[in-house]
Amino acid sequence: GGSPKKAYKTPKLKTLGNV
Amino acid sequence: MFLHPDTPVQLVSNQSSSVLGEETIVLQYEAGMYYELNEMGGFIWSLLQANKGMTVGQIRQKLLDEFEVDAVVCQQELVQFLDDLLREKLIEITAPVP
Repeated sequence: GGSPKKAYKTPKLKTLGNV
Repeated sequence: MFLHPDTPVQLVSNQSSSVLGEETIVLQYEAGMYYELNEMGGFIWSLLQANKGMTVGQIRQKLLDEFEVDAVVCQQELVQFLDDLLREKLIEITAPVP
């Protein structure tokens, strides 16, 4: 009755730089 | 910070984002900073794009519905991620939706 759940990863924010 | 399950958050207006492969690139105009969100961060970002004033609890439930993750881990890592977005002024806490 349901679709399989997807693999979880820790959500991350990475700073790339300053324009 | 002070994020509770019933805290509503929204994306700030002075930013733009673009999906690049599995990552999402975000530019914050005010500070001129640009960032990369990983796939999971991009998923949360897309939820906030589609739902203005979504609460932390609603985001958490959506993650639990779609991903194989322990509820406690999900809560901790979501709040940490949202804290990061708040600190970088990419999201803001908003008034509750009536």
